[in-house]
Amino acid sequence: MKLERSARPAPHRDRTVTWLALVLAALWLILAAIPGTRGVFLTQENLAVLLVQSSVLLVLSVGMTLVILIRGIDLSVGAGVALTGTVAALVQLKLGGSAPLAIAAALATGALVGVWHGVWTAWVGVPSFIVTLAGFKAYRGGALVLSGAKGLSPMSDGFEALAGSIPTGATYAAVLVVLALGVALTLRDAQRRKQLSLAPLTARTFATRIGLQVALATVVLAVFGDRGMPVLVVLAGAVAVAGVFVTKRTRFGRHLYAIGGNPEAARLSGIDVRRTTLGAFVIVGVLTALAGVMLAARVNGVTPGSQGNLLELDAVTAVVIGGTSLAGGRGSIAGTVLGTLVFSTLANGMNHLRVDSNLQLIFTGLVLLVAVGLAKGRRS
Amino acid sequence: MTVELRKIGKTFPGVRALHDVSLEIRPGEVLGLVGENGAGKSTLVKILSGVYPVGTYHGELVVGGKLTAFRSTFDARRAGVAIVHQELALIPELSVAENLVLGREPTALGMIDHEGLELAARAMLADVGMAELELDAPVGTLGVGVQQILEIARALADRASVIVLDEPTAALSDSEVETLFSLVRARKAEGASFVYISHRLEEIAALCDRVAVLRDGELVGLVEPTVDLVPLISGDVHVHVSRARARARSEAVLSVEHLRVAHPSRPGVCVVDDLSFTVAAGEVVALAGAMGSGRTATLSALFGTARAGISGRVTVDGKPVALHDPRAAIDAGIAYVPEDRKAMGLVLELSAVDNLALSSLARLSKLGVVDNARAEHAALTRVREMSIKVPDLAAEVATLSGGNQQKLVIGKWLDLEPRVLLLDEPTRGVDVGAKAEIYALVEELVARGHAVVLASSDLPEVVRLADRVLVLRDGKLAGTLEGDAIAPLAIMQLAVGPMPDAEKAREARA
Repeated sequence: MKLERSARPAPHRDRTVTWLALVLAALWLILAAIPGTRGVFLTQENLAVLLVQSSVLLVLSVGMTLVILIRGIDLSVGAGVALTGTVAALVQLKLGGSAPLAIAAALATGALVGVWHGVWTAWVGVPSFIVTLAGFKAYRGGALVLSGAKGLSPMSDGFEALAGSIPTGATYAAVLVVLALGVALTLRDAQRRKQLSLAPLTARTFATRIGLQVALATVVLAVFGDRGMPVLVVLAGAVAVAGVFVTKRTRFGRHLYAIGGNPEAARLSGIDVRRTTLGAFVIVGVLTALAGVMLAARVNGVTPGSQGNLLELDAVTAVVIGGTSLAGGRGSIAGTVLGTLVFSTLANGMNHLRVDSNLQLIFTGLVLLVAVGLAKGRRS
Repeated sequence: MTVELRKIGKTFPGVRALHDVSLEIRPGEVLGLVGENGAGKSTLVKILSGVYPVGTYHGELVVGGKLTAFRSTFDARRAGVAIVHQELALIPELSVAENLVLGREPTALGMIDHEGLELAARAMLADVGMAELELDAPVGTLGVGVQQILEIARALADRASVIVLDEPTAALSDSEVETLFSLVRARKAEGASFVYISHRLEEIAALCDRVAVLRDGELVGLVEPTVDLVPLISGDVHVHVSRARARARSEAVLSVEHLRVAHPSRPGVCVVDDLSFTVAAGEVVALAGAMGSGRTATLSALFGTARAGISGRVTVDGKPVALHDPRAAIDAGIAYVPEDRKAMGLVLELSAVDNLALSSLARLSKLGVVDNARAEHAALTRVREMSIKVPDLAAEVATLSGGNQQKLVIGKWLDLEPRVLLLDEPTRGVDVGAKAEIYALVEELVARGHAVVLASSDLPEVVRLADRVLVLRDGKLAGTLEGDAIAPLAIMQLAVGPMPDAEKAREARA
């Protein structure tokens, strides 16, 4: 059947994302230009540090986005980072397990935590705020009990590799493969639309999509091309890309938006709200464990009492700056990635400007308020 | 008090909602306001009642001879203009009494005066003929119709001199409509004026003194209510109200035996009590009856959404259906179009494509990955087939008119080719044109062999669509009408039951 081309193709019109990208670019330019940073901000060296610093938070923020999309929250991820890091460290140090085994144990712990949250939230019906507030206390306690309240370090060699970088060749290969996949997906979309006689992607959409992908790849290669990409950044990048794919292109992802927008309508459309909720919490749990492993690798050890402290609130901050609504149903992983980068950029920039760390707290708080306030202003 | 609207105009981004509308509302009159969805009725009354503050529109508002500028609904209320919105604005968790006095709770020394509150609430309920309603019941547990009446009671209690009623009867049963009408007439006799928006032209004729007709944002007529309004409203479309008859009968698709649904809060009471019926392929069976008679409860029980206390046996094509889970109902071939499309049918933040795909994502995806192009293609096909008017498939459905939203709710099921379609108030708050289209759609689905169960308080609709009418009263089957016996009066008589004093009551009112 030939259809007329009256309906325009769904344009990608997430203005929050465009706006945030501009804010980030402006921040970078300002930080590069002002004398206080002595010209070091926009160097390869500093950007690499910035991305490594963002990586743990990014992984947590992607997971947090999923639960916030369904009107939930996970306050336990900071404590979860400590618990899963402790599990990994204990497997290595006390049981003499290999790095892969330690990581697997941490991820399994994270998944179990996620199942626990999901069951309490979706089947028992306790609000996720409460369920994960309980976790916030319990997992920190669990980490302290398991470790005997002692710091665990150093991690073994296999683990340390996580804190290293992949070779330059592999960096190029990885970036180019992801770029190729991205371009292929865009081309496939265009071809599918043609097949189904839908209005074709406009030249602008097409150019924007491909252009963005190429630009991103260029930036990444400019920063890491000659030094190799840190494994932490590889992992965070993979999580971000997977997050975008899952939310935009999978059934599970579309269900998240439906449930967050109107749980009753979703249920009456035959969507299994409980299973989807469980799925979201399990993913957050696994990502928390991944972040736990990454942080343990980065600092080469675990301090159960303080590791990951308040990271859950940093993640919520990044997600909210990224335009995801705490009321559910609206938001995107792309926004979260940019929100995380804005957050980390501010921290990095203030460090270069030698801003007192206490003042940094005040400033970060104000930024959160202003970001959400502006977003409201633009929407209405 | 005379209210005058002078050369009112308003544009939304890209749309001219109103253009140069001038209108006078005289004291002690009921002014009808009609027009298709999107004609500008709601926009006009929102300007009149301060929802759209001064500065967001052109033109002048003159109240009682004085040029007035409302900055908020609060301003409007103070000036004596109140509006009862089509959408319910009650707080579901609060009780009937608390909702009624919300914002003007009687206090003594700063504390809530509970006795005073109860007294005030009782008086307000008595005013709208619902004196027997439980004051402590959370509003959320009541039917939409009852909630609507509470909302009206609230506006009436304000003693406003101009009251805007936006589709007040959309969810009311006929007797409730009568109650409302006598209320309006009583207030009118005291000098209050009303702006009455309705799609039901027989109501306009019965109640209004003058009728203003809007089309595409312009005032196209200010006429006597006896004039044939349909051509004015729609331009040219002639709405044909007749019954399609004599459909071929086949064996039962849906069979319901001894369905019982317990009342959610009152033990021992059944909202559906021992109901049995069958629906054949290509047949429309309507459930009629007053508000609370068990129409909606039956449909939601069949779809597995009622939480507890259901018994009975339901089969589709002979296969039993579990009654505890919408998923099981859908898998058995049942689809459900709920009465409240915004709260239960649509995800307003999502696009038309996403909403249409809501129940068929499994078919549109492989290994969990959605084929977005196919989803859009399916949506585009559906949108054309059902002539759903969307400016843009990617736009949030919150911006669409009621009729188009309703079509989306129906449309999201069609990909699944359901055997049984449950329709609850399918044309509530929908304009004349869209209504006719939805009827045509139902006819077409029936012709294709779907079985349809229709729950409706709109008697002409029941007469128009049904092959068989089951009239419910207090959850029980009061009677069945078939063929030529289906008529509004017959349905009403069964729904109300033997009422020896009915005649007397009518005389007393007149």
